[in-house]
Amino acid sequence: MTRLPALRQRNNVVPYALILPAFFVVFTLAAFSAFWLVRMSLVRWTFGAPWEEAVPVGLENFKWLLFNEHSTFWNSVRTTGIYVAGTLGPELLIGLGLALLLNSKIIGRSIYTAILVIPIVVMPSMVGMVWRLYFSYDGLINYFVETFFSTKLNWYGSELALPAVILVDIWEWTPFFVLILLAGLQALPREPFEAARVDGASGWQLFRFVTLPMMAPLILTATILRFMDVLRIFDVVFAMFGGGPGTATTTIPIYVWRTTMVARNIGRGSAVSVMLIIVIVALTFLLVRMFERVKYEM
Amino acid sequence: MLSRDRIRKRFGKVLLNVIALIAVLAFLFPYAFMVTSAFKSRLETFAYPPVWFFKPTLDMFRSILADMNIMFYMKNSTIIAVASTFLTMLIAIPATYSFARFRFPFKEPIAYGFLFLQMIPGISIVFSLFYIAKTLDLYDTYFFLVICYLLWNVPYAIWMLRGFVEAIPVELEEAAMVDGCSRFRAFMIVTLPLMGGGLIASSILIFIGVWNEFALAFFLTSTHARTMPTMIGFFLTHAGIKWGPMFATATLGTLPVVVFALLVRKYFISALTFGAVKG
Amino acid sequence: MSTKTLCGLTILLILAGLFAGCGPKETPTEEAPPEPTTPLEVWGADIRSQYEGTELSVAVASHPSIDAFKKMTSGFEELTGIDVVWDEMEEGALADKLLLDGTAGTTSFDVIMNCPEFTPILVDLGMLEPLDSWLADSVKSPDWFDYEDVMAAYRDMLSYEGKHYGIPFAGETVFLFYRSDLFDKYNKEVPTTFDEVMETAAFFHGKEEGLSGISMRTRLGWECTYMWSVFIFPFGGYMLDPETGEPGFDKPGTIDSLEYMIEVLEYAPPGIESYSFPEAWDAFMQGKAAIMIESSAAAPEVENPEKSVVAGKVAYAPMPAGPAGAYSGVWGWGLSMTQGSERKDAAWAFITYMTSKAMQDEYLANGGIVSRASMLNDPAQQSTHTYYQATLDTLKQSADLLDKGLGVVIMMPAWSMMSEIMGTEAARAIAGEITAQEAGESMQAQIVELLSQ
Repeated sequence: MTRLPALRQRNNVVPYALILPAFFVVFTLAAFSAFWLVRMSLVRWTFGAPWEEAVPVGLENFKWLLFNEHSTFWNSVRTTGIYVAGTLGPELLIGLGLALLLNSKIIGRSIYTAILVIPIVVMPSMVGMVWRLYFSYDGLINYFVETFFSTKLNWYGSELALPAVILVDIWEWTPFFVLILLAGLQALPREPFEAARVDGASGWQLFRFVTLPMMAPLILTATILRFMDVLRIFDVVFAMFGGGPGTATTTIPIYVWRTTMVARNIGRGSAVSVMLIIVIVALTFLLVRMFERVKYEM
Repeated sequence: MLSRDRIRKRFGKVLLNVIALIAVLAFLFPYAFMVTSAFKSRLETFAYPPVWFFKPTLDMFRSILADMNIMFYMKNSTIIAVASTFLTMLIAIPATYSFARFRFPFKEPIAYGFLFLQMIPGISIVFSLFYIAKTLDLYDTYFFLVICYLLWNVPYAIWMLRGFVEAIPVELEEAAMVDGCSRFRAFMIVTLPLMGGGLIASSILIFIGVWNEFALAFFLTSTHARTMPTMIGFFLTHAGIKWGPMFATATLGTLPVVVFALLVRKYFISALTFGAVKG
Repeated sequence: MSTKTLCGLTILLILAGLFAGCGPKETPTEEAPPEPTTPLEVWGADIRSQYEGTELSVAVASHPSIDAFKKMTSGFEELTGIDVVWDEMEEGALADKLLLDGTAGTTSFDVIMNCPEFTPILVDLGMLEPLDSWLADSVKSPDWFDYEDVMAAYRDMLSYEGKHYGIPFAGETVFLFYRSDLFDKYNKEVPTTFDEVMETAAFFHGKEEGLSGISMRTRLGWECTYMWSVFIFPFGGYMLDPETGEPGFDKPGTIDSLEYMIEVLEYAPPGIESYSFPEAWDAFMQGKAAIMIESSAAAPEVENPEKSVVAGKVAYAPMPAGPAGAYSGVWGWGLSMTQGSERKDAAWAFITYMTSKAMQDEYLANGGIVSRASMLNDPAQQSTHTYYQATLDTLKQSADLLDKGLGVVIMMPAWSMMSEIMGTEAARAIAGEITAQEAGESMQAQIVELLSQ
């Protein structure tokens, strides 16, 4: 990417004027909704009751969520954590593997990259419903499980519901890693490889000492991007299990919904939202650092 | 080279190709099964073991057209997605130009400010937005949904488009301006056409994002402005799960998006990484 | 680029063709309506003269009675000239939707499907129109409607704070379904106590290929509460003390009932912890369970040979007895009018038509669920619908419960939150995350806190 010289500016207002509509719309919307959200998190309020009936309770909602023994907030944090680990790890590894595979001369690579776009763009909520069917006892997944392992699994049970949801995420987002890492691999300069080969490096050494270090910023960027998205996942889990059975698939976003609309405790639900947003904003800082490094090195 | 080596090499190549094929098919299969199942007859859709060969029929599509009013939802989805995309571009392009061409105080903080806002989860603020809609009497309107989507779409568009504008040499614009064009005209005649592909790609990706969006669509709409994703509740009936209609609906809900995405996949990588990585 | 464009265009053309292939719906030929003779027709002509062309928006959840109503809709539209737009969705989605609409203060719907659990909340939101004045008006409530014929228990379930907010169309109790063919084959007696139910379920579990002992709904949230609430009382437990209103979720009887449920579910099909009622019914209808404890609304489905492989092989029994007696509960659905509707008279016409005595034969024949005394006690109906006797028996069992000041639904706005707490903790116990004791104590603490606010 070329660095461009700044244009001579006749008018100091113009740049701001051009940004103004975007700035106005986006920041106003964000400011209002954030303001409301924080306000709602500081009251005890039933969804449906008029605002006048809301009782200010300061940080009580937060304290209840974090410290009360009946709070299942930490449960949902743990569930989210398992979800994140269960998806990011495999997606990255499989994604990298497949990217390396496709980087070597494979026939039909362009068709493959086209096909891999599909899981990423399909409507998550509807696809979630379809996967719910696939995971039913007499569904597609059990068909294959039965063919290979002569048994059928109870995916709707509390042990396998979360793995089921994780598998769907892996299906949906591994292509994300594949496509990005493949592009990254293809853009790597040849010289370091040739130099290393001349020095007698083996395939594995090439990978470990040349490929991986050069790909590191991109891998990190992709992972962080995905990380932030994973924390927000709602559609698929909602469509598949709605947080159940029990609280097996209640990730943080699902917890927000259940608390706000089903238990109708909008104060607490808002408190969860506030905490979630804080975490994501903090992570965005990290992403920003990564961004700069990647941009310069591509 | 010994022929044994050559055979081993070729075998290795074949093996790799086979693995790649299987891996990619594994990703394609769930979707392909869904689409083909939409053309099955009712009993075939939930048969176990699954039916692999069958005579295609449009029964399921006919049923969702008649019973589920699917055209209404598709119409709403289309209107909202198109309006969102259009409005987003209208607002984002000037801002992008500003970021790409000018230097001014607070430039990067503002740019990153946009990025931060984009990261807000929909489900977190949807209930805030609900109360705002209620107060402004805008619940269940196209207008409100479209405005809300701007919160995510505009930053995304700015970040995606910025790279495209920066890639066009400023000299071209300056040349046009020397010839007597205003900066605005220079932009319209020179830069915008050259952005062409990137512009179309960003538009399509924003369209897809709005088309697929669930949380806001579900909680901020009722009978008037409901979009396709909200249809997921229709298939769990007292008489069992309607597999067939669900496959058909999911096919209609995803096929346009898949087609569009494939048309612009050149820019896909860039889109996924907010312009950090060029595809 | 051209190949890609070509492919894209081809696909779009195919899609377009799909829709073009679905031709326009045939419009019914309009004939001059014959002279009205019966009271119904006279009423219809009267309504038509005033409200022809009105369009009603009706929000409903998927239900066999709704299917029946839908089949009766063209008759209604022809008679009155009023158009009906049905908005059907999953039960949970309906609850969400009504809550959102009510809070937002919009009036998207004219008629909604209502149940006892929704009523207090919707009334509080100012969403429901009280129907007493409409019922008292003899012109608006003609004889062929016959409101008194609806079972008293059902009439009362949609009332709140002394006013009636809904006209019931489907009354529901919970009773025992069992496979008479299997029972005959293995010479088993119908269980009359919960212990016998456990033993029977254990006996049948795995007895034949793909056969489980028992099926029921258990999905977290409202569905779990629904099912569990039927078990609580026979075991001597209670939700709120009838005199003091104190919650009793940590009392031995209540916890016993949950433990029983967890134990008996060992003999249920795999995946039971996620079963919503469609899945529970489906399991029984596909022959995968020997017994089912479920809503009476399942019975017509079970007896439908097109959907159920066990149709004609099922018999029905009242609820088994626990240590504290045999009880059942009353739920149901009704049609309510929204307070903000601008088409109230037309909406009322719709409601009366659909739920009237005059239309009952057609309603029942189309699979509608019964709620009227005349139908339940009619020998002809009883022989076609073999479960009517069980319905009457369990209505009596529910009345026994109500006499003690207890009920399966507590009519107060906090009920939805209470049942959510119950349904979450109980579901966790069923899923094995926590023990029944822990669930009971957790519920108790949370509900005490909830009610103290």
